[in-house]
Amino acid sequence: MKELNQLSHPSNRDNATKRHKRPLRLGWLLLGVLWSSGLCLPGCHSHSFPTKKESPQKSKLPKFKFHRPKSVEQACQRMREIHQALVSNSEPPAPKEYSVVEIIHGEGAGAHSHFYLEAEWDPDEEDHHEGEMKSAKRTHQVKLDVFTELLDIVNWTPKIAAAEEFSEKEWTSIKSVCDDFRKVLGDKFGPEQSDAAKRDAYQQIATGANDFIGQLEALTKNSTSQK
Amino acid sequence: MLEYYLSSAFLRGSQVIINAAIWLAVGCFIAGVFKQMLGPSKTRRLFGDGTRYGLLIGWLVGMLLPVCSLGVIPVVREMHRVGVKGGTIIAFGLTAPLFNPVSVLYGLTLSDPIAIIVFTFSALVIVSVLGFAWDLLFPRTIEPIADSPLPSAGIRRSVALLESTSRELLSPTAALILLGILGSVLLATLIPKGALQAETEPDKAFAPIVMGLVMTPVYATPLQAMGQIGSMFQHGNSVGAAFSLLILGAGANLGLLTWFGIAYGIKRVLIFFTLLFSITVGLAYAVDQPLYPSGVQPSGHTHAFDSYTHPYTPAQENLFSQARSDLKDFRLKNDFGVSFLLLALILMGVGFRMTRTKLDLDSWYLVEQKSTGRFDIHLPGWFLGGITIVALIVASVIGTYLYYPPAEQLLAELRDINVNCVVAAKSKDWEGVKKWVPYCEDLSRRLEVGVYLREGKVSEFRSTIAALYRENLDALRDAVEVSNFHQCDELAQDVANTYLRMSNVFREQ
Repeated sequence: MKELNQLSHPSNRDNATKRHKRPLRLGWLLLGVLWSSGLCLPGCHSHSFPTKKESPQKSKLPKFKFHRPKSVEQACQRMREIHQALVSNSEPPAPKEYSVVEIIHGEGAGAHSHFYLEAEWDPDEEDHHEGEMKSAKRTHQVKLDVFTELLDIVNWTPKIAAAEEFSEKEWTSIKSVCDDFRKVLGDKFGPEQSDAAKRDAYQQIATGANDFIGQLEALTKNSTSQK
Repeated sequence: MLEYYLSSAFLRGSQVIINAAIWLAVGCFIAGVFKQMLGPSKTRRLFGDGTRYGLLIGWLVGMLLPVCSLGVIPVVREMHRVGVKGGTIIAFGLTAPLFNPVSVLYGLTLSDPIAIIVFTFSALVIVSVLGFAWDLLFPRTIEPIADSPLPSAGIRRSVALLESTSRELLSPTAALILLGILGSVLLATLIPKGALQAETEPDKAFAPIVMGLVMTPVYATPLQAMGQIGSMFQHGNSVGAAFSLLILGAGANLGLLTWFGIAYGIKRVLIFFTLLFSITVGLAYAVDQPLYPSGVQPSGHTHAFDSYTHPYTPAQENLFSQARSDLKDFRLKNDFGVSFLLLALILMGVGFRMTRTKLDLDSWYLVEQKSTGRFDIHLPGWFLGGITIVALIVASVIGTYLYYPPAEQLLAELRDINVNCVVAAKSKDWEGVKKWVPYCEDLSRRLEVGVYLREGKVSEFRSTIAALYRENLDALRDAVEVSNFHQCDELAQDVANTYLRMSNVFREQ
């Protein structure tokens, strides 16, 4: 009876309530700490935000593949042309310019785009989704410098080779050469560098680059001659 | 407009039920095993009660048992009923829907293996932190219940197990499952077609958060989630968003969260969910850059989430008949009779309920059956229960080998479907192309997993060719979707050529 009276005493009830509420308060406190940390996280993730230098429109354009070679032979040819241009004394080649048509389907959060080379786009063959989703058209002038083009071709070559009749051994050799070439090119062609600086950086590794391109040409020739 | 909403609800709801059917049946069966064969004390002991390894055991058992985020509901209800600690329930309840042998193997061959390993380890971190925090903040929220007599050995125990399994689908579990399905249906009805295609690009700073918020109410099977993660890696989407998809998309749903609220109270579940969300998104941002696949360029959009959004546009007509036709195609590919199994279980449950009004089944279960011969050995319930759980795990592993057949066998199936796809494109059967492309993609992924299972690895050469095949399929699908029909012939030829190349390469020893 005495124990029951003690339990029903207001101060004991208050203590029981406080003990019950303590884990919840701790929980809310922990939550608050986590939320505060969470709010800081996007700030640490600066790569994901477009910088002030980039225009919002430019940052939305995906990586185009209009300059992707159709075969390994073509890829080697183009790599050789770029190499010759960069090691010669003449002016570096001007960036290629593409006129790209963007067809935007839908509006707001659900919008997405498709991109076409204006030279190959047939305005009569209208790009539309079934159900006649609202479409808008924009044209972009996209520049492609030789440094970006070279890097892209080196990255693409293994996949282009996979579609051809190379054996696994030959393909592995091509992939290995491209991987080494990519490592050597490294971050020499960063967007913050000028074309002159990029050219100087390339000329320092020109001998190595020439070797890599030579190896790729030899692998392609050997494979072609065996067929 | 009503037709627009109802057709989506009908199609997406049916698809979820078909996808979930087998996992629901397995989940109800596991709950029945815990109830009728192990009993409360042995169930608690299985999950490490009285030891410091409860969280680890919950994670491990969750990794091995084949259930989804809906199928786990009956299991966690039973665990809660018998008094398993809350932290262990969280560890099990969040892990089981994420991983099983089938989905982990699928994931290892789709993405850089290191990415899946990091995802798995990060999931362990999340469930451990949550489970530990829970046990610290809210220790022993329910008292363990005492053991009650279990059904006698023999036919009685089997009938009791069958009754438990079937009646689970008529218990409050069913309401929670329906709520889980409703989450997916609502989202699919409200989000317009294609709305999520560009939301997970790597330059979208809030992609992990958006993915977490959107995908939490959605139901996804472990295999679906892994397939979508693989697709996201292939298309150069945000790795952080892929992680949010895995933990929150596959791991949670409205039904499971509602159960947590009912079992532990609204305030606690709010704290729990906010912790889960915060830690998941935090880890998503942490892994986003380091795990971004090298050599992959963002493609600008992905079709990985098309199955979670509205299947049609508002301007389309005859949506009900389109939905019925799409459902029929979906059932042909995905339903191997399991939805009928689920229906049979429900009917059985109704039968048992009606029987109970006339017979005292509980007393019948307890009647001791004497041994009838030398070889009629009475095995204790806990032994059989343990064997059953092990058998489920073994069945899951065997199922893996069946689901990912040898290359020869799978290529025979893929050849026919690829031909259908190419012929559809060349004969301008655009609906046919849209139907066959996902089949081709799925089979090409399973081809790689089948080789991985049997040879221990897939060479980079082979996986590059398989990836190229899927890229060509993607390009064909995109062209058809935007009615760029003049490109389709060329793209279809690319698909045909790459298929031949892939087939030759995978057949070589």
